[in-house]
Amino acid sequence: METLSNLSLGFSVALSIANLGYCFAGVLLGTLVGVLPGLGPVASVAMLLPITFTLPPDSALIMLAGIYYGAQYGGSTTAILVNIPGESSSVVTAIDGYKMARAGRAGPALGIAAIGSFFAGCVSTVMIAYFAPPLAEVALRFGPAEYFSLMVFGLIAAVVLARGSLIKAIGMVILGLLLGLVGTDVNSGTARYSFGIPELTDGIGFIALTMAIFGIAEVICNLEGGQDRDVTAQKIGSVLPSLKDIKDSAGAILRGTGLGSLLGILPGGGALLASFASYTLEKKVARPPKNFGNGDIRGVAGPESANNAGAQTSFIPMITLGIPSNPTMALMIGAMMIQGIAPGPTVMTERPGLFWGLIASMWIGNLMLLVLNLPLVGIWIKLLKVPYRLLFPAILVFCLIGVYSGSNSVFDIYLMAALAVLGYIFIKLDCEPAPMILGFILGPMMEENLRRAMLISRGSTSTFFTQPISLAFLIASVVLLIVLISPAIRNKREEALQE
Amino acid sequence: MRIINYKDFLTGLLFSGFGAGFAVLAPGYSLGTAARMGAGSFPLVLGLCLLGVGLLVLGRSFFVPGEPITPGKLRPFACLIASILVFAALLQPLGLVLSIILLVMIGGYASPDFRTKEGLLLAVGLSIASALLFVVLLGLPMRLWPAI
Repeated sequence: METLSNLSLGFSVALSIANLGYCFAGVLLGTLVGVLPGLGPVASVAMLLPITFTLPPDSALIMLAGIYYGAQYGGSTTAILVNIPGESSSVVTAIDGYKMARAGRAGPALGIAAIGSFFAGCVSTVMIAYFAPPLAEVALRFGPAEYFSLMVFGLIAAVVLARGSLIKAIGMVILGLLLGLVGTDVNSGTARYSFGIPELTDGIGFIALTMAIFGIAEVICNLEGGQDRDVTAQKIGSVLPSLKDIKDSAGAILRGTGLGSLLGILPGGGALLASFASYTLEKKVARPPKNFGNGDIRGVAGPESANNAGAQTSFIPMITLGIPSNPTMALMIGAMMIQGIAPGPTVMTERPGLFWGLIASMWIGNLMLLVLNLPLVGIWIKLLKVPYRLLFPAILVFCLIGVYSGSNSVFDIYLMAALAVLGYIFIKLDCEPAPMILGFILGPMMEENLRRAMLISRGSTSTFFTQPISLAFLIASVVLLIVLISPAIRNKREEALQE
Repeated sequence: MRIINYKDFLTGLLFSGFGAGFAVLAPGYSLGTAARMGAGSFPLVLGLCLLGVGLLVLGRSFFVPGEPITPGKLRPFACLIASILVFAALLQPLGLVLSIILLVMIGGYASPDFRTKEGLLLAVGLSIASALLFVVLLGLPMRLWPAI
């Protein structure tokens, strides 16, 4: 009953004309940017972040959430049409989706992706409404020791999902944590690692960091690679899947939704893990299996439903615990902080309108995506043909204005140039930047909780091992690490993340 | 002993360099006691961890082979970074409109396909569009024109 009244509060916020407008604008802009070559959801959200600065907090978050699913969907569109996945989570969609497009069935592939995503979005919205409040209640009872251990667990889980070398991912997490500590220490007021530069006492700008790494460094690499996209080949056909298509994929959509919703909640989870797991599952249960990899509609329906479900339920740890499970959620937390909201379990009790409004807007956003994308596919395809030489200057302009407007200081632009050089080096060295961003956001929170826990325990580290919840998180972290290091699992992981 | 994995070698250097740097400066921010941790203690521990990870990766580069580093190109890198620096230097004296035009005209040459005429059109278009969107519509506090 309470859930219903909460949801109705949420819908009353989300359905206000202004918020509907922001949700729509977010979904539209997100899809638009997501479809453009070379920009994944993280970069899209980062780039469009400054647009939301002047909005009230609930509208800002609603719009950002809209941008996120929009970009996610845009990424799937490019995966299907041109075999270039916008983000790693749509990598598996490209396998069967692009084959379908080559066979002249791009329309139904896009259609089933939209329908599956919508279904998954509906289910996961309900899941969030039911699971977030009890989780937030548990989290409210967490002390600093529990929080610290939870963050350790979250960061280790994030490492699992990083592509490439495990040890490099661990290094990137630690580097992120350290970069997060630059600036004035809240406890003592000491300016750390600021080298006498007054602007650095406020810390490294979060927007400068993400834009430098996911925007500028990415653009430099794209320009080096030469962007070859072959969009001319296909006819889209009707986007409405046939009855047979729907019957074929119903099972895959259901399984994908279930799997995605569960995996999204895990720290370190989210859309990526969900889509890979779903593809593997569908491949196993498919009868006959031989079609897989050659344009099987289930290979699109399952992962697409799963990644949307996972993308949405990954909001649960973000909004209840204040812990980001992927870089996009880290951006959302950054956005909340910019708006002056301290992320964590108190958001739900102190700002119910914001919390439930965001949840309700997720469902509305998904509906908009469905309505928007099916008829607008033609426009998205035109966008795909925009040559990169015209596109990257626009990305550049947006990134720079975004960075400047985040702090109104030119220093952040110089900082971004430096960080872009660093980001470029990371790309060249195959160091995945996503774990670094998570570390960056969690660094100050982790230190704060560690210090508080140590203060309460009068300097005894045993506090982390004697409190059951904290101990459980630490054991889980160790188990995860051992599992990761064991050779059998390691090969599997590499295989799964390779594709 | 020969380096057989340059990616790992450089990553290791980078990690251990950052780790050592953070760790060396940390004691200067007071370490405190276990119960009252000072501003330097957490960075010190993390710095040492990163140094350790860095050395591990560095060591690995002598034993585990890997792909060679794909050579970079100077042009995209130089043009983009230069355009950002120019933008940063000129934004306040010149205002947003002119700075963006310069930004696009310098950064654009990062791509070998960039054409001057088309680029100029694009630069003016982007400049007007962002002035309208960010300053007029969204009200971000930015100077549009040079201060006289």
